[in-house]
Amino acid sequence: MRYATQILKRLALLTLPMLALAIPARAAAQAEGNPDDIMIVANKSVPAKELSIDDVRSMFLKRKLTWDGSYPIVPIHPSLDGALRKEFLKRVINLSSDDEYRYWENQKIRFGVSVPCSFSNNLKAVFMLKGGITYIRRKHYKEGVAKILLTLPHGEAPRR
Amino acid sequence: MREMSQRHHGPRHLLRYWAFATALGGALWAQNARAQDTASSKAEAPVLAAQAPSPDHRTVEERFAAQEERMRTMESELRGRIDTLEAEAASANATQDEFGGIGSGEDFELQAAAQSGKVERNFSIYGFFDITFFKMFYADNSAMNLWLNESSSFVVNNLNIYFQSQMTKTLGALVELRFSFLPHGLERSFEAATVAEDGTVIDIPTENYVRENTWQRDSYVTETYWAGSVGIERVYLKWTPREWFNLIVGRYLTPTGIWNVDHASTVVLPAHIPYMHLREMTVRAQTGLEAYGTFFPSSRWTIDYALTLSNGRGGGVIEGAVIDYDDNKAVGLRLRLSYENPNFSFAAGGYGYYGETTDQKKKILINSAQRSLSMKVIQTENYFETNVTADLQFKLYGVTLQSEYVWHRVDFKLPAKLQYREKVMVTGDPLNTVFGAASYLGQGVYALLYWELPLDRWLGDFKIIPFAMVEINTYIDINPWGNQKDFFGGFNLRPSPYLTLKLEYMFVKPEDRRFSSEMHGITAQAAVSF
Repeated sequence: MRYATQILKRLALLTLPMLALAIPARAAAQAEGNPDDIMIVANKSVPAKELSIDDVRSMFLKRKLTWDGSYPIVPIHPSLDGALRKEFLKRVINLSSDDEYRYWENQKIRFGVSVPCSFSNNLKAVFMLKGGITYIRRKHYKEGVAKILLTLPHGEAPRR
Repeated sequence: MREMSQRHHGPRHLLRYWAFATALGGALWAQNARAQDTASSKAEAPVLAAQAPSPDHRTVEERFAAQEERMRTMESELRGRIDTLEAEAASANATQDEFGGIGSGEDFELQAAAQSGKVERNFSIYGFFDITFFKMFYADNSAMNLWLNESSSFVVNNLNIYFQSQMTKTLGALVELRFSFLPHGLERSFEAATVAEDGTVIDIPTENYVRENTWQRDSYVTETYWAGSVGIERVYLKWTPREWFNLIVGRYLTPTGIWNVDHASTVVLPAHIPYMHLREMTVRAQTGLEAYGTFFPSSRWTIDYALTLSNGRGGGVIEGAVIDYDDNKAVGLRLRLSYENPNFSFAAGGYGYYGETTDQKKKILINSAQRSLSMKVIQTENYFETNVTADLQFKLYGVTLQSEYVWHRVDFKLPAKLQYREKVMVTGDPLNTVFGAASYLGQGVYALLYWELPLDRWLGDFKIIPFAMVEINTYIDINPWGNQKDFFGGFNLRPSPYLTLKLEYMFVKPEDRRFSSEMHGITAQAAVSF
C-alpha cells in the first residue's frame, strides 16, 4: 500500500506539471483551428453575436427573414466552391444538393420564394451587403472583414 | 508512529501532493506564459533599448568599432521593420482593392445590391406542367360518365406559368397563370330521356348533347387551330416589412391545409386531387387581402398565422373572383404550430372561414310613357358558408403522415342554383331550374402516408417514394349521391429535382349505387417543373 502510494505520488508530481504545460499549447491550437473548418460569417452590422445551427438553417431556408425583426437577412451561397456548399448543406441544412433544388422548386411554386443568391466571392458579398450571411473555409477568411457567428470544426458532426 | 505513517501516506496526504503538484504545474505554466509574453514584448520593444552603463576600459578604436557594429545591427533591424510595415500596407491595400473596389460584373451587381438593399433577381419566369395517361374502369351505364370518360387517354391537364418580381427589398409581386385547352371539348349538357317502369324510354326533346368546339381557322393562311383559355390562379402584390407581419393584396390561394397551397403536380405526390379539394369544400382562392406572419418562440418552434378578408367564394357559377354581389366580406383565420429537428418534424394547423355568397341578375325596366329606364337587381342565390379545416403533418426519418379534415356548412337564404350535372345528380331532373335545397353539412377527411426510401447509398439522388392514401367524403349530408370512400396507392420516381414520374392505382367506392358505380383507375403521370 505504501509502495503504491509513493508511486502514485511520483506519477502525480511528474504528470500534472506536464499537463499544465500542455494546456497553453492546446488552447493555441484551438484558436488557430483547422484550415478546412467551416465558418459562418455575417456582415459586421448584424446584431447577433453567435448563432446555433438551427438558426443558420432557418436563415438559409428563408424561414427566418430578419435580424431580430429589423433589417432583412441576406443568405449568400458561394457560387464556385461546390464542395463547400455540399458540405454545408449536409451538415447544416440536412439536405443533399438535389433535395435542396427540390426544396426551392417547391418553395417557388408554393409561395413565389426564390433560392438565396450566390456570389463567387461570397466573403466580399457579406462584407458589402448589410444583413449578409455566408459560410467560408477558415483558410479563406480574412481577419476583420466579417463577423464570425459560428464555427463548424472540420470532420466533426454538427451539434444542434 | 504507525498513526503518523498512516497520516503521512493516507488520502489527505495524497490530496496535499496533488495540490502541490497542481500549484507547481500552474507556476510552470504561468512562467511559460510570462516567458512567451516577455519574448513577444522583446520582439516588439524599441530597437534602441538602453543598455545598463558599465565602466569601459576599451580603447577609442575598440569603442568606435563597437558603435559601428551596433549601428549596423540597428540599421538591419530597422530595415526589417520597414519591410514588415510595407508588407502589411500592401496586404491592406490588396484587401481594400478586393473588398472595396469594382473589378468584375459581379462587383457591379454587389454594389447595386448594397445600394438598393435587395439581392433577389428583379424578375423571373418559371412554371410546371404535367402529361397524364389514364384508364378508368367502371360500368358502361354508370353516372360516372357525367364527369369522366372510360376510354384510355393522354391528357395535358396543367400548364402553369409564374411571373415573379421583387421590386424593392419589401415589395414583390407574383402572377400564376393556368393555361388550358378548355373550353374546347367540355361537355356542357347531355341528351336526356325518362325511363318508365316498363322500360319505355321517352326522350326529353329540349335536352341536347352539347360539347364545346373552339375550332378556328385563320383567314390569312387558312391554318386551323383550337382556341384554349387562360385562368388567373394567383395575382398579388406582396409587402413584407417584418417576419411577423406581411400583407398580400390581390387574388391568393386560401391558406387552408396543405394540399391547397402545394397544389402543383410537381409538389404533391398522388396524381389525383383529394375529393375534398376537387369539390372545393374549402374556398380554393380568394380576392382581397391577406395578412400573415411567423413567430419563432425558439429556433425549432414556429407559429404561423394568416388573416383573410375577401369577396368570398369564387369560381363555379358565382363570380366572387371578379366581383362581390354583397357587402358582407368573407373573413378567415389560419393558425399553425410546427416543430422541426433533423429527424423529426411536426405541424398542426387550422383555418376557419365565414362568408356570404350572393348571385344576382339584372332586369331593365322601360317606362314607355315617361321614356325612361330603370334597373331592377334580383338576387338569384344567397347563402352563408362556414368552413373549419384542420391539418396535421408528421415526419419521422423519411416517413410522413399527412392528413386534412374539412367541416363545410352551407345555410341557404335563397334556393341554390345548380350546375347541369348537379341538377341531374341531386334532383334527378335535368330540367330542374330551381333547387330548393335545405341547408347542408359536408365533411371530408384524408390521410396520406408516404416514405422516401433510404436508398441514397445505391441510387444517389434518385428518389423512390411509395405512398398510400385513404379518403372519406360526405359531400352533402342530406343527399348521398356524392358520398364515397376512395383509396389510392402508388409511387413517385424522382430522377431529377425537375421531373416527377408517378404511377398510381385508385379505387372509388360510392355510398349509393343508384347514382354511381365502383370505379378502378390506373394513372401514369410525368410532372415537370422548369
